[in-house]
Amino acid sequence: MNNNRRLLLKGLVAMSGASVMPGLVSGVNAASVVDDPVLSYLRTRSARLADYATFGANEETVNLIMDIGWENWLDTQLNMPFTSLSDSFDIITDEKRGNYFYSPWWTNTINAPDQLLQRVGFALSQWFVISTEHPAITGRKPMQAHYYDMLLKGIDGSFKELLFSVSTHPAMSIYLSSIFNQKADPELGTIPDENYARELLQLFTCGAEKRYWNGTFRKDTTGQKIPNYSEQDVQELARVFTGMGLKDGSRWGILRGDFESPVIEFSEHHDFGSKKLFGRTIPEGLSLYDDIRQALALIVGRRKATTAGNFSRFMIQRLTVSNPRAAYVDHVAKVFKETDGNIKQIVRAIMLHPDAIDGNSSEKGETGRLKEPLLWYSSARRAIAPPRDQLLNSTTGPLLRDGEIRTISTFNQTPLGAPSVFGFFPREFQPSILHGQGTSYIDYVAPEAYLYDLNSIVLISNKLRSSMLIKTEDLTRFYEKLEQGATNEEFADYVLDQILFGNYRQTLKTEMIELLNTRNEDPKYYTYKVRGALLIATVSPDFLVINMPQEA
Amino acid sequence: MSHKAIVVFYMHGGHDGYNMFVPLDNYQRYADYRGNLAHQEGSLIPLGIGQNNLAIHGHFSRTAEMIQSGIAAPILGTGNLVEPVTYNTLNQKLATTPPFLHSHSHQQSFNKGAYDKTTGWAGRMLDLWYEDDYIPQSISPALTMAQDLDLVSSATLGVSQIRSEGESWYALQPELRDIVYNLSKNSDYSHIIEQVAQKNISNSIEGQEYLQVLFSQFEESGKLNTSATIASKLIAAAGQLGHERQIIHVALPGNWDTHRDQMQRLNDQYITIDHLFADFILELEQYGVADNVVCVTASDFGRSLKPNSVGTDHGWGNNQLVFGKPVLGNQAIGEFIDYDNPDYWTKSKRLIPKLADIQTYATLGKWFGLNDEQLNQLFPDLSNFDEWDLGFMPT
Repeated sequence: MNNNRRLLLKGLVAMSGASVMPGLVSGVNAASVVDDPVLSYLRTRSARLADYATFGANEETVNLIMDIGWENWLDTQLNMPFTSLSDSFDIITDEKRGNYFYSPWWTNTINAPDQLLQRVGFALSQWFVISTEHPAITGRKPMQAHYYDMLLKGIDGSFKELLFSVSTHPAMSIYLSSIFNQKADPELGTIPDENYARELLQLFTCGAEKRYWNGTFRKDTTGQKIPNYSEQDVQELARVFTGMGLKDGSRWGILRGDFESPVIEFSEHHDFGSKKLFGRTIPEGLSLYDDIRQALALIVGRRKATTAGNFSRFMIQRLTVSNPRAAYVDHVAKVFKETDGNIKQIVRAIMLHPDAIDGNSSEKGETGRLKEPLLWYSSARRAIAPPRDQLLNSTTGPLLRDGEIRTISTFNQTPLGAPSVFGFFPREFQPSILHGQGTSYIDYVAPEAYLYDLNSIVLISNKLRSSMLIKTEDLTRFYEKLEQGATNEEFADYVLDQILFGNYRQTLKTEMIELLNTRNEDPKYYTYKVRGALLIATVSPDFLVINMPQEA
Repeated sequence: MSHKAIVVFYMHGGHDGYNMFVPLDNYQRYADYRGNLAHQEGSLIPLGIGQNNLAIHGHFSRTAEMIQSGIAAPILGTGNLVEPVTYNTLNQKLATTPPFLHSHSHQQSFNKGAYDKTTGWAGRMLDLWYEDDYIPQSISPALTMAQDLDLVSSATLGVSQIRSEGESWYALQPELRDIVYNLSKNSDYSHIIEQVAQKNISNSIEGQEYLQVLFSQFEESGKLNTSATIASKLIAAAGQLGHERQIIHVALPGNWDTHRDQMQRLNDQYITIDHLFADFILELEQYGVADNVVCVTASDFGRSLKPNSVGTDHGWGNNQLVFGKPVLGNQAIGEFIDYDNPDYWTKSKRLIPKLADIQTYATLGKWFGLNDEQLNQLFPDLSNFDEWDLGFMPT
């Protein structure tokens, strides 16, 4: 590779279209890319960047990233209005006269133009967890959609503001039972429920144990982790979240009212006494909202590094790599600090960090992330299907029917449906293959592996196949390739380019060609070639892992 | 070959064991503490065991029968402990306690022996039992039907997590299946996360195919839920699986973290699990394998005896149930709360357990065939408890 090309490569991928000569990068013709090693390499890397920032790389996104550069693409995405789940929900519900949640979720996930916002929103829904497993949440689908929209909207703001929205949302209040929580009653001997206070500290902010900015744990002199708070802190904080009821609610204790407005104060049940938290005092006499604001400011303020380190590591793991270097987390956490927790800036920092882009900068020279089941499926669908403009109208209907994506039984994962407030998987899960490898990967995690049980691959493959059974317009371009007389090798090249954007092991291609060679050449049977090649491509280790390729 | 299996029925979220067992002696004292969550005395089923004349919640009629017929026993006042603790040693910080006493994740990890580790006590118990003799099979003897791997994670045996009996694999016809499988074994994939993905793929293909054949031999009653059905078939097939010892994790259905609506929710859930317990044993009898299976309940922690307005908060000490043909039932293990003894209340009015859950697990381990040395290795804190054997298993 000559020097000019190397420079072009570095500029294009590492930062932005703006840093290289625009004339060289705009108007790249995708068809010619495959034959040019440099452009082909850029295409592969752009696809991996798209995998970080969307629900799966597709032709359109990859071309756009190559065209305008990564940084410009990110800023364009971050400045888009978010696609509302409530709106999509309303359209589908009106048309079907039923209660749907998963169809609109999948529709937005796969097709919304604001892919980055949707992707970040999904990540946030795994941090601020509510779950349809809760009996009082499961049937309230508009409330679920409203909660999800609140997360999407919160991306354009600070962590603390979002924390306030979450803490006062009826869905969260129901899920962690802060709704109708009552101040202590000395006569009855009852004390406030500690559920929300405890998880707010443990899961939504600082975490149970102290961390540095870089996300690693502080240890005391004996090597033990250090608690971030005491039981007293939890009990005091629980007093803040008392007297919360529904707007337009008829009566205290009855779940009736407005589930899409923040909870409001029911003064007779709110504890107006002063509260002590982390050695500071929240003064007496504050309203519910002021109490909450002060408490959140105290938590984020007094546990700044540990909150920023905890949140930054989590978001990196959800969006880019499973095993970020301490320096990567530190950088993002410092952006958290400098921008007062501005979520867009945090996302930007995660996406633009050299460790995310170069892919060879982790401690062990390896990075990457396993796709969680929902992402596996969404990225397969996005890569196969061309983007659609009009999904939610009466002729096309929702992209996926609720019946088609009865998600939990297939994916072991369903949006807003985690088994507990701890989410779909432990944040730092290490599958046995990693601790079975001697000491070299002892610190490595692959949390998503938690969701792949003995049934997963089979069930999801079946789901993928059923989406390819009929020769829909999604698949047209693959049939066309064959009809135009592509050889089996040319067809394999095309499929691998469209699905994996060149990022695959040679052995996958060899196997695919072998399969195609065994298939009947009669055009009547092209469906077996198309389906077979697509299934092999999407049920491969290559597709299941988001792995930045090393320099060509 | 004599086969033995332990089934751990987990109640994720922290079950209120003081809602399940109630003392009839000094009933009023109990009712005062429980306030709006106290059961009507007449609704309870007297068991005629224990120092306090123990009764069980009225929805456990079949469990009560198992207790009285001598194949089940309650374990009272048990929980996560490092060493014996009292009010004083706790507050003077003289005693070591499990960290973050009322946190779900910490107490579950501790209870599963998974705190800061990559394996759980059940997985390590199997590691010790099999030593190096185990020849890896398609299906590991460390089994979970739950969305939870921690308890049974093993250093040497892997884990098999099974969610459903599966569906026939029509997506991957033989030639496709072979390609996908070959790729999952191909050594060109040098990246560690790719290898994780490969393992997921090969496990699923091997496991699914194997189970399809295996499970088709058994005709289930249809009375059990999916998890328990799979568990019962895995036990029945132990010989074919090459499993001399199995530990199976099954999550009990329902929401056990009852901050709200405790009374109604537990009333409903108890009906389900009472049948599940009894039908599970019947199912094993049907397969002719009930003689060597012991089931035990477990949970994050107990709950506060004093309710909030409509439920209970995270607590500590709890009551559990052990059942199965080999169990020496019709007795109460441990003691119910001694209300007048302030030693066993924390400052925030949580009950301090007198027995450690590891005593239960060690008692089961001994029955499994582990010796004292192995048990002390498995549960290093065991030596802090005198006469740890709880005596519910024949020796």
